[in-house]
Amino acid sequence: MANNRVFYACQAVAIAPCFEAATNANTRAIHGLQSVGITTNFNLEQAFELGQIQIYENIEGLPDVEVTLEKVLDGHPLIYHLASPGATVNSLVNRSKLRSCVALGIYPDDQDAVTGDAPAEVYMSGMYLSSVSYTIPADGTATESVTLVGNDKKWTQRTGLTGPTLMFANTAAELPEDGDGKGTDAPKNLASTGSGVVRRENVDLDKTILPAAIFGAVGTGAGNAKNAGGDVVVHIQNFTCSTDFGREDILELGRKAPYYRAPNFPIEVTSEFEVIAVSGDFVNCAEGAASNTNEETIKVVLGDDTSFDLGSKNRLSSVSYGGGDAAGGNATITYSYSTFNDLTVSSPEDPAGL
Amino acid sequence: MNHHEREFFICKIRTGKTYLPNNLIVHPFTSEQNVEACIVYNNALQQAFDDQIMTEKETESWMLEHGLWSEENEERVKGLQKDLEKLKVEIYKSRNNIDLVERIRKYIRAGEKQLKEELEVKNSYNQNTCEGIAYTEKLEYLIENNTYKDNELYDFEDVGINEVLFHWHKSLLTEKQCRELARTEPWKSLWNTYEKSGVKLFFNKDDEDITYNQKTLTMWSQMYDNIQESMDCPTKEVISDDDMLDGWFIVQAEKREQEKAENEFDNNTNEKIKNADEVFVVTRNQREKDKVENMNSLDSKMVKKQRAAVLKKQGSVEQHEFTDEVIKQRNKQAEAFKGKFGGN
Repeated sequence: MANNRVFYACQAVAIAPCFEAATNANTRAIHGLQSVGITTNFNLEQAFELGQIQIYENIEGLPDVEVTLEKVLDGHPLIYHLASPGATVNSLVNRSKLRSCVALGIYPDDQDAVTGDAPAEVYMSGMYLSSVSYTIPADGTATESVTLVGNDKKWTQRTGLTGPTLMFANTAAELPEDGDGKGTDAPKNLASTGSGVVRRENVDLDKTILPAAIFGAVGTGAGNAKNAGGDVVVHIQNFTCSTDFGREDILELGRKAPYYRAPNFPIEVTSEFEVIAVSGDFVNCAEGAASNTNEETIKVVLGDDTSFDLGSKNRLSSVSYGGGDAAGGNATITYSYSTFNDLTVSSPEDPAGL
Repeated sequence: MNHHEREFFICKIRTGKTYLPNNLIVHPFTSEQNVEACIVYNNALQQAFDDQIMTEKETESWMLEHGLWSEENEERVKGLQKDLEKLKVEIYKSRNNIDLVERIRKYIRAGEKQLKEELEVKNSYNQNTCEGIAYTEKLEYLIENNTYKDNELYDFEDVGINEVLFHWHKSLLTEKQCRELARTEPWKSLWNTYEKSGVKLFFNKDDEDITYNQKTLTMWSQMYDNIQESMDCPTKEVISDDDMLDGWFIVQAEKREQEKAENEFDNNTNEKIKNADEVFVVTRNQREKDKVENMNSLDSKMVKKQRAAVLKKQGSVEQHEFTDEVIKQRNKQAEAFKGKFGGN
């Protein structure tokens, strides 16, 4: 835990594509946002010389800005999609190339809901996607966590001359209020599928494809968590999938800032299923075997048609059996999978329309 | 209080008996009498309801309607309570500045006086409410059954029940008196040694409940023990000053609230956000906002203030222009310099 964290009660976050003029259409507020963390690092390099003990020059390198946003899945656009609205193909590679601008609006203490231009704003431009992670637990709400990295961050206070860069009245209006200052924003799913914020019951097991190595899975097709009679035979407690782009600065002479922060391909995509142990894990391994694991398909689909498709090249990287302690805890098996460059997150609300 | 005065109080409290004028003695109430008293209270309350007497809540509304109490008065009471809390924190923090301490103490006394006056107005009709009537009946029952003269249950012929009640109320210790008794001799050594020496603290009979004075004295003694065991135990000077100690209590409570809120937040967010330098939590109302603001340590609050001042002055600020960032850079430079030359 950081010792000197500064906490801000922030009320809205806007996100827009980079290198385009911010317009009402392309600047979007993030719905269902829970918290945001920003870390700024100024990198210093000391130069000394023979003949004096004092420093010759303290060279300031490139500042690093890292912002992590976490939201609940609620039918509204995903942060991953909002950060890459110009994508032409719904793939990790295509989306990894896009950059976005993020602004956090801080509104007065006496307002119940955001209205008008943000009086104070933290604005970060030229942000690259750095990592994406999704969690669907059995006891809680499904969440998305996205980290963006960049080198530019500015604080603005609204005065006669200066105003917000992204968190305008129009952006704030995306989080509606009733006219009397009371917020009326609600999960989009409530109107479309009636489910509200995504919870365990909103995972569509009929469309979901689990890896066949999970004990109990019936075949390799969609709906393999259920048997022929329609009964659920794999009791999933938690699903997570994540990837880290591991960006590297590509520098050039004549410019301080990197001209590109390239993803470190191949990018590993990991996923994990924690299931209740109704028996053992039944994963066998033999030292003499040519192959102990198979390439498997993983796809998790939600009731609002949001899906996480990890392709068909997932390999079991580890399986662990735990829990079942003397205190009466359930035994669980955790299956960890790994693949590369393949994570397709689809949502009907994708601003790129993919 | 002088030592002999304290000794007198302690001796009386230990017997459990309340010594009143005219050689009247009120014995501690027994558990059975307490149950009977509760039944008397409930019956009197029901009777008062049936007689269509106003409850405390109804009286409050009635007072508001007739202009005897107002929303402004209510706000004033809340404001005074908040001001008193702030002043007590202030007196604790300024404990090394004697002049300032005395000045703040004057403000505290003035604030307490004003608060007392306001509350007297607010509660002026309480005795005529259902609850007030029932409470008086309960107390009358207990006093009537426990007041003795010359070892005989008193008949209240020479001295009326109201006068006895008045003197009995007067015999209850104030919080200030109780705190002083709890932290000073002769009680302090008795409290510290009673477990090992096997000395009895109170001489109540087996079926007698502890009295109000005994209860508050024990509670404060326990409280002073807890303070001594605290990781942030204040100095002796603070412990013996009620106003300063109240300030210390408030500071500790705020600290605990901050830690609790921080832990709650940490448990519900991911590692990256948890470890970030600046954490933005989306809030929906004032209560949540206050909770987030309270998660900031004193240092963080100061950083926020400084940043807000710079922002206000300049309108637009790059991160490295904030004073806290400048200090951070200087520290980093110093660390790097030390690393280079192997200094400590």
